Amino acid sequence: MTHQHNSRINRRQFIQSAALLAAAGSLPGLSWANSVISGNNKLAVIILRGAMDGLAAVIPYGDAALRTHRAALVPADETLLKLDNFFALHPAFPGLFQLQKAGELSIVHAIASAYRERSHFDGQNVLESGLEMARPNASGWLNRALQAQSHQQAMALGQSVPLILRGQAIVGSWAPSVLPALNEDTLTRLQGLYSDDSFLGPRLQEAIDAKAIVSAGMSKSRATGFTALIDAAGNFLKAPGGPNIVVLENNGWDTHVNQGGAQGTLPRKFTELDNSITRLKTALGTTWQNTVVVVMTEFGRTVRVNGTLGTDHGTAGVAFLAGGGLTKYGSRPAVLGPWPGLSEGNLREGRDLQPTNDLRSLIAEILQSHMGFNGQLLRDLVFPGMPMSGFRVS
Amino acid sequence: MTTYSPFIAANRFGLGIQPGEHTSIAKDPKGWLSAQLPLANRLPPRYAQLLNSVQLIEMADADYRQRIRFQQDGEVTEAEQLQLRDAQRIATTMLRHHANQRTAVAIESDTPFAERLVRFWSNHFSVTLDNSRPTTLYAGLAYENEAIRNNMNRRFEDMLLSVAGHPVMLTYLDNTLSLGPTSPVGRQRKRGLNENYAREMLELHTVGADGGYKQADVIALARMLTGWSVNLPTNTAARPDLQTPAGSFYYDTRAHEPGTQQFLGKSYVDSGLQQAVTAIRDLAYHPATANFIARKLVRHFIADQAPESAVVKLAQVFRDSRGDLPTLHKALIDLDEAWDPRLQKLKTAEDFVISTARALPGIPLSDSVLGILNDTLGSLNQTPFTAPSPAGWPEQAEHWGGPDALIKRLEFINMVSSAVGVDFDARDIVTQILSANPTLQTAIRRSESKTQALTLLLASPQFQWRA
Repeated sequence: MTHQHNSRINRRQFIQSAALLAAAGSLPGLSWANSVISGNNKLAVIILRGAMDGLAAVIPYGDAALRTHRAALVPADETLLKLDNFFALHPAFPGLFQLQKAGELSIVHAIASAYRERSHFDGQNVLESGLEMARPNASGWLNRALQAQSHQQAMALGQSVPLILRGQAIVGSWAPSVLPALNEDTLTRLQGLYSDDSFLGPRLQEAIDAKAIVSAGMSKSRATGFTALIDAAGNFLKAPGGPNIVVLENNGWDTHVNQGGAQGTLPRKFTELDNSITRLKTALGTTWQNTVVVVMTEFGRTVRVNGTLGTDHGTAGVAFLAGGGLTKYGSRPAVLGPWPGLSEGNLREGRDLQPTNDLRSLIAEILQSHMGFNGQLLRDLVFPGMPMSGFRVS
Repeated sequence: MTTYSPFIAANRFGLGIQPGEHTSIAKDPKGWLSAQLPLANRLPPRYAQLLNSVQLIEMADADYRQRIRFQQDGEVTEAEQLQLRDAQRIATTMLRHHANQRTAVAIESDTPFAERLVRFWSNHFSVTLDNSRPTTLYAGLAYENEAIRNNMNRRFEDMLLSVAGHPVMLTYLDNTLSLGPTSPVGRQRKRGLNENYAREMLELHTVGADGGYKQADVIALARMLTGWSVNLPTNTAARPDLQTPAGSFYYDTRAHEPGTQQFLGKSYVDSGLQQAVTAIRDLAYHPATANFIARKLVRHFIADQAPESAVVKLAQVFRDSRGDLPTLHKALIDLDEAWDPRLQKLKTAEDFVISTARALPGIPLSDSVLGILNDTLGSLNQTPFTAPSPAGWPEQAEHWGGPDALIKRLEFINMVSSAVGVDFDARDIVTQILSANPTLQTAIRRSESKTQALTLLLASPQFQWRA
């Protein structure tokens, strides 16, 4: 137990010494190469569970076929937050719109994981495992990345550790507690008992460490639900010696029924996401400048509105990148990725947006150019089936 | 040579051993388990006075409509305000009572293996109840008793059909909203299919995601299921069938998609309600269903990574017995893997809270004690009927044993010990609820107080595992 504790302190000192500057390799076909990697860089991953309707979030209003497929789901043209003469953000995203103007937002459209079926559970499994197909006992891609570069530390914010962070590398987790605290002595004795348990022991240690870090910044916060997790993300990421990677989960994106056009269920979720990212920026303060937030979901939704004014499980959708850390990539189009088109012949299986980018290529890009993970490691261990073509900007 | 441990019998297959039980279980651990199976469909006496789902749905629907009515005319008067608060209070009290009874049934159960099986199947056919579907909000426990418990001594086919015809499931997976696009009602309202239930019936309830079905099969099953609905009034019309009570199953022939359907390589002629019944029966006997159910049972009771040998044997029993549930449950405890002490399952939050209470006999199951236990389930994120998805509660140790969940378990035990630690002797209990463990016994013996000793016992890693 003592030994483990010491090794953790060493890892933190290691982060502070910024020794990971040397780690970058190179992926073929990279579009955003040559960025400066800082040892203080931070990553927040937000998983939207249930499949966000990318066509409702980032609306290709310039595509002539859009309104034939889903007129009921498209807000009035004059309310759209237009990014260029083809794409617009849904009006519920004023915060993201501001970030985009400041170069602190990138949108990737028509992007998908390797998964091509329509099950949430398998889709999330592939999204988080980074593998070609769903495997019940897979490890998460972020955990595999950490196994190889253990000077980076990750923490799950929420009631449990999601698949993306599961695996051999030990990660922390934190969620607001409503129960009373244990006394120091009993905790120490329990640590002794847990040291013999290879599964539970390291997890108890992480829990104890996490509580020590968060108590200072969190005691005054009254926020609840996802907002509380956003505040915790801010506190953890800016804490000296804290984790440099956090993962948050947000549920409720499976909009089969009455998803709403200008207003309704899905626009309310957009507002929540918009507020959350704005709040994270505030919570992070100057740390926002070194941060990239990745917002991703398991798949997109059908192009056509369904029989109950919602949308069903589709294929490609949208990923957001936000954060001051994006400004280093310089000037770029508002929406990245080739546009496959919405006319009948362009739809996948006659119903879905055709993917033109693989999420793994995008994430690999961020892990390498922003977080300093080694390119070879990403190809071999983190995303073994990733297409060699790399991320396509247009 | 398989050793039959009483601790494995009661902790892996039951709800947690009670002090004093292990000597009698040790005489015949397998016999102790199999003797419980014929009693699996018995309704616990605590449930005898509860309302049934039809009554509960009618009540919830009436509450919902009253709220809408009061809110629709713009302003809610003070009298209306009071009425709404009254209805809310009655519902909250009732739901708390249901939750308390369900927790108490598990703590008191003298057939804990049978009760675990009921909860396994209830989770297999999981429903999540929340305000988004107000009419079924009160009926979770009634659903579990009517669709699951009631079928425990029948075939899988019977349970699958009971679930499919149950208003709570039909509402939860949106089948009540699904209309045949060319049916009279579908044409009139210009609305159509909702695939949700059809997809989950295939993916989660029967053949599984790799069961060989295509999108076309999902649509065919969704079409056959159109018309399967609930007898409730709308904002503008009385309930469709005045002969049967509001809240019961209703087959709406005018919403049923006409025509023969091709489903999993077979033609199903349009025989109305019977069309989906035939398809569902065939699904229950599909070879992939046997494999899917066998794997799920092994993963739930034996190990997160289900040993293939056990899955193969159990699937064969499922096929040979034509899905006879008692035969299947008996076969589970006949597996050698079931008694392998190297295989381990981490307790779910519910297992953990229930087994804690079972380890401390004599604590009165008052409403306030049960309320604390249920609040703990909430804090540990396993309030009954609130699973995060239609797949039900996850199985993996990683889900239940994350750092934060662990610290909350410890804090709960700390609270329990602070309250009752002085009444129990952990040095004595440890030998009766866990297999021999010198390190833990020493730590307990060296505790600074009885309270601390009980904390160490129930917060120990050994007590977090189900073996």
